Order: sequence, then C-alpha cells, then structure tokens
Amino acid sequence: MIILFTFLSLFAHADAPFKKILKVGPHHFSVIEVRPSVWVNESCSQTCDALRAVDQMAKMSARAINVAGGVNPGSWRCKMLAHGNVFIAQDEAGNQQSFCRFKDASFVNNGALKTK
Amino acid sequence: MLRLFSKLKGALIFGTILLIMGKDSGAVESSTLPDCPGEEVRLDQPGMPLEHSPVQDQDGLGICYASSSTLLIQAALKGHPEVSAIDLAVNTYKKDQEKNKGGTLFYTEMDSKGKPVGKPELFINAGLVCEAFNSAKVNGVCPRNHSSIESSSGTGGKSYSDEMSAQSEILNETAHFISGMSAGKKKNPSFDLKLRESAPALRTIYQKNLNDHLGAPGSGDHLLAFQLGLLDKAYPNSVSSNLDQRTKAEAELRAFFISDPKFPGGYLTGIRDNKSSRSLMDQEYASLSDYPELIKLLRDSESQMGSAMNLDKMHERIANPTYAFLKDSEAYFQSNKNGMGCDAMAHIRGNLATLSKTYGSVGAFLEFQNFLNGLENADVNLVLGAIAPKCLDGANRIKIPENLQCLSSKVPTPDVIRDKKGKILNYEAIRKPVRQKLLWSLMNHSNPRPVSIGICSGVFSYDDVMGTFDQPAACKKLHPDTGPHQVTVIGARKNKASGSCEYLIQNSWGSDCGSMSPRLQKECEVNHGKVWLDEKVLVTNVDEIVKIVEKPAK
Repeated sequence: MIILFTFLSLFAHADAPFKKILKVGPHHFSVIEVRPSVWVNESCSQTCDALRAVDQMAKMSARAINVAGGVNPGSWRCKMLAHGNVFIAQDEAGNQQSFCRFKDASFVNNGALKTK
Repeated sequence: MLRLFSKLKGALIFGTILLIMGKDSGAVESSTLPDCPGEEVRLDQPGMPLEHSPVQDQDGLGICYASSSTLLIQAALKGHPEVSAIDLAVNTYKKDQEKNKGGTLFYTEMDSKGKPVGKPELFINAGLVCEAFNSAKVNGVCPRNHSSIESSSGTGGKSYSDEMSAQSEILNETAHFISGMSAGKKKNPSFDLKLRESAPALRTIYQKNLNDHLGAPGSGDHLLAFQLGLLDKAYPNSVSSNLDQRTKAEAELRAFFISDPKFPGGYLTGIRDNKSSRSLMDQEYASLSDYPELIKLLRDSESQMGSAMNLDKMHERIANPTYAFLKDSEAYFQSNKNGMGCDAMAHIRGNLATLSKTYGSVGAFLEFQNFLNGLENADVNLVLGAIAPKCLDGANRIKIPENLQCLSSKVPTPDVIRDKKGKILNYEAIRKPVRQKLLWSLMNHSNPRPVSIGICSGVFSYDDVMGTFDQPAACKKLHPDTGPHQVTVIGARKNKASGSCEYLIQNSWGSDCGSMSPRLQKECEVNHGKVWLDEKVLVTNVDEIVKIVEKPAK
C-alpha cells in the first residue's frame, strides 16, 4: 500500500507544475511554471492574457528594437508588442526578474515572451 | 559555522589559483598570453568583492551601462555595498559635471602585480559606464535598499497587486525620462552644451545690432523681427510658438487636476491618501495662477526689447516663483516616502519641458543657463524622488573615493585582418590584449576586480553572432533585435572538455535565462542569470573594456 501511495505521489508530483515564491517590494506572491521556462501567476494555469501573449508572440517575426542601453529584449517585447506593463520581482537572495503584466492582472516572466 | 567554512573554502581555492597564477604572472611579460585558470575564478564567491551581487533586471530601461557600472563600483568600494542602478542612470543626466567628464586620455595597462606593461594607450572618451561612474563621483550613489523598485522597501503599495501597478508607473516614467533626456542631449539645441556654444555668438550679434539700431525710428520692431528670425534659425520653434505650447500645457494641466473623471480631486495611485495628493495639487494649482502673467511678461519682453531684457526682473517675476515651486516639490518628495503619482509627474514634466523650451529661447539671449540647469535638475529630482526618495538627501548617499577612476579602452589593439570570406586571420593577436585585460583584473592578487565589456547583445540572444567587434553595425545586420550592450565579466575558467577559456558574465536581464540563446540557456545558471561565454565568442564581439581602478600614487 505504502509503495503504491509513494508511486502515485511521484506521478502526482511530476504532473504538478513547479512553483516558486517571489516578492515585489515587501509583498510575496507565487508563480508556477506551466511550460518550460514559462512562469505565470497561479490563477493562470490554463488561459489568461499572459499565456495568450506568449502564444501570439511566438508567431511574430523578430522586430528591430531600439536597443540603446541593451534593454532586456523580453521587457521590450512586453511593452511594445504585447502592450503589457513591466514590474520587477525578486527572490529571497535579491536576484531580480522582470514580469509582464496584462489587463486581466495575469503576468508572465519576460523571458517567456519570444518571437519566432 | 557552515558559512565560515564556505568562506574559508572559497578563499583557499582562490588563494591556490592565485599562487598558480602568481607563479605564471611573475614571469609574465607584455608579450605573453596569461594562462586561463584551471579552476574556476568567480568574484561572486564567499570572501570575494561581489559575494552579495544578485543579478539585476534592467527592465525595458536602456541602462545596461548603469547596471554594469554598479558592479564595478560595488567591487571597488569598501565593504562592497550594493547600489541602485536606476538612481545611477538618472543621475547620469544631471548637469554641472563637465569637470568630471572625459575620463582619462591615456592609460597604461598593469599586469596582475600592478606592474606597468607596454606603452600608454589612448583611451576613447569614456563611454556611458564611465559617464555613470563620473556622475557617481559628483552625486554619490544610492544604496540599493533605498530604491523602491530594486529592493524590498517597495513603493508603499498595500498589496502585491498595488505594488506591481506602482512599480510599472515608476518604471514607465523613468523610461520616458531617460529616453527623453538621452534624445534631448543629442537633438534638442536648447540642451546644455549646444546652448552654451550658441549663446555667446548670438549675444555678440545681438549686441552689435542693438548698437546699430538704438535710437533709430522703429528700432524696437526691427530688433524684434531680427531677434525672432535669429531664434527661428537657432531653435526648432519660435518664441511665439513655444508660448502657444505653454498656453496649451497650462490648459491641459488645469484640466488634468480639475476635471479628469479618472482622477477626481487630483491623482491617486491607490497608495497615497487624499490629503497628500491634494496638497500637491494645491501647490501645482497655486503656481498656475502666475502663468497668464508670465506669458504676458514674455510677450511684453519681445515687444519692449530694452526694459524686458532685464535679467533681474525676469528672475524676480518668473524664475524665482517657478523655481520655488519646484523646490517645494522636492520637499514634498522628501517628506512623503511614497513619492507621487507618475501620471501627475508626467504632466508636470511635460509642462516643465515647455517652460524649459520657452526659457531656452529667450534664455539664449539672457544667459538663463543656470536657471535652465535648475529646471532640468529639478526634473531629475522629480524622477529620483519616485525611485528612491531617501536618496534625495545627500546624507544617505555613498560617496565615491577621490582616488578611484574609470578607464575605458577600445579593443582590439591590433588591426583586424580578414580573408575574402570575412574570416579573421589574426585572431591570436586580437585575443591576447583582451585576455590580458580581463585576467589581470579578475585575478589581481590583492584587489580582484570585475570588468565591464561593451558587446553585441546578439551574443546572448543568438548562437551565430561572431566577429562584430570591429564593425558594430554587423550586430544589428545579423539580427534586427540586437545592438550594443554592456555586461560585466566576473569570472574565468578553463573548460576541461574543450580546453578553451571561458568567462562568467553577469548580465542585467534578470535571473530568468529565457532571453538567452538555446546554446547559452544550457550554460546559464538558472535563478542567477549568469552565463559562461566562450573566449572566442567574447573576443570577436567585444568592442570596449572598462575598469575602475585606483589612481597611481604620485
């Protein structure tokens, strides 16, 4: 019985998306990895503006970017192509990671916003 | 205990590496290629200057140079404090820094023991990293924990959702400011140096014509026409059209504060109370009451040349009250940690820009430069107030020691020789000075330091970017979404499998490796955003190397 439970648990864990806790300012929030390297807010596991933007972006060709100052390409795409707003989250060690936030309050890591 | 052990371990490994390297570098002459370290050297390890250097995300702000500069500054400062990149970037646009601009013209490369090697090199005028550093020498730097966006201190939002919205506002506004200032520096003739260059010449002509026409019938009209013609040539908009813009700006500002249904009673982000916003609105509105008078005065100035061109009167009637208002705004920021709403800030700034243009036109004749500087610096402070209000107070800023200097050099030193297909034939000769500059700094016995490099951003986004270093346009030609970028080299190692040298790059695109190319994603340290870059890729795409070093003792 224990072996069966452990076996099932392993499968359950394998299916569950990875989750991490980040913070913006002093406030904590969590994100889940719904696809490889695509992190969204927890309430957006299936569909939301953020995931739609990721899919739409993947169909777009690379655009010329005014990259003066080496802007983060994902942040640029968030603002200029996906018309989202950027905010910067941090992990416990202070490492920063920017996200793109949409009108329905869903958000995705900027690194996930890639053109084809 | 574990932490202590970890530190000791790091120090031991590094000490061993230094011993090995020291043995080599002791015999190093300018003609030798330093060996790549067999064991990893990382300046972010315990006991090293970048032990606490979380990876930054510059957002959509074009401030890679500032992010890189903060790492160089952190490594050079005692205690290695983390500093705010956004504050540094905005401060870079402050005025009155001429005395510190330009960097060092000549520089002699030092080996790992600090011994001069080779002839002094001519430095290209220090790039943006050095400009940011020189700005830091004037203004000091802001500890990162005071920055509302770059630390946990936050903007004061009551929930993470509020905080995200407030951050986005501030970041958008900062991006707007930086791109405006950056473009203004290049294009707008009313900005600093160009105005200074043109003002004396205009004044000479003006004085000559004034002398010619004084006392003659209708001289006032004649001079007015002449002056306006001159201004039209010197500036994109005439005085009159600037004044019209001002009138429009005034109307917009009034409408914004009074009748915008989205912001009844003034602007609220949801994180400020009515009282403070109202207080700001009252200040702004009070200043508006002077506007009609200001416009009338300027129009009178144009039609009554002699009396209206009285600088003291101008200051008394216009400049001082306006400047006083701006000073009040600064005080507002200092007393309200949350700063102010960026939408309101954008409107005020738009209004200030028009004011600045108006004064810029008249000011060319009146030498209003100090006043203009005051306006623009107040504008800088408005943005800084939103980013890090505590750092408006100079006492909270960290001072940069006078003996530190920023050195920037173009690479490679030798000319590039290519075959007909574009393949580089003298790679070894190009590689040597780059490796020397990197390893001698990273592996300096007593004072290991990171190195900032200018490099095509495509190196990180695509796997096929090679050979752009001597033709930067090639970077964008290969991929339209790439361009000049600045990152920091914080480590080196020999790849045991390939035998090639690799450098650890701290980028400023966040801890997420998603923006990296497929090959680099494998090399990218997830959650740290640091990546190992092959020496050949680095050497053939790097075009600038920047360091912060101590000035040699006299």
